[in-house]
Amino acid sequence: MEVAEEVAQEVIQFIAGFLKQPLDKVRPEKDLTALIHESFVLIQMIVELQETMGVRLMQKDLQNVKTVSHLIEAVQAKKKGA
Amino acid sequence: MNKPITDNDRWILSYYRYSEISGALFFGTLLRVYRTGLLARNLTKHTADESQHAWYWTECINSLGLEPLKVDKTYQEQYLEAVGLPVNLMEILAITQTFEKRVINQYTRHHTMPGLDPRISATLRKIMEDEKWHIQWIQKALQDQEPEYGKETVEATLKRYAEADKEIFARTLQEHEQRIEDMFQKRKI
Repeated sequence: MEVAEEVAQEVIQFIAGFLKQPLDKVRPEKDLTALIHESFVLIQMIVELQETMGVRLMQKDLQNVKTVSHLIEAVQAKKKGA
Repeated sequence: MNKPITDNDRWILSYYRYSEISGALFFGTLLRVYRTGLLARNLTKHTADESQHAWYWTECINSLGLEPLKVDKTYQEQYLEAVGLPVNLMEILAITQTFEKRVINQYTRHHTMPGLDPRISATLRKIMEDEKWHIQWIQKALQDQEPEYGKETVEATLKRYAEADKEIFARTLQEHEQRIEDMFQKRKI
């Protein structure tokens, strides 16, 4: 499996685990704020995701992130740049 | 001589109360992530303080013979909507530092109001004492982030959040101008 595809799967698995939801609920086109309504919990999820994926994101990295696939792309970009 | 408590007083005390609750919820959420070490210890104390402050305001409002009002949006919520969510510990600490400074600033200003009811005055003093420690521990925690993020990045982040805070505070004051003016005017000797 390509690294990018692996990262995508890991991010989706992480979010599904965090939300205690089945994998098919965390679709790439899904809006993050539709999955997590509470902004504090969204912050918690993103912080924990970074620990799990071994990346460090900044606010500017997530400026245009709205959906799960945008978040995957941001993590993939960090992994590539690392 | 103390001036009578007005609807505007009730509103602002309710606003303070709801903001403290919001702070407690935020730090409580962070405690799920940061569970060990000095950071977790300080976050736990900070969470407890914010909850305690919400209680102090509840107690104060009730002692005035009133119940808290429902508040639409806290300052933190307005702020996060405007600047976006912090996404790492450094940004979280920087944004918290900005809020804490704004809170102390506002509480200090309120405390200078002539004819302030002693129950409100006493509550402000109690809370401001805790806020001093909040600023100190966060300042130290931010310094501890410098090896990872660089001193310049930490300082630039703080500067960005402080500038946004000035704008949002000005906007908030404008939004509630009549209320605040009324509160200060009614107490002029």
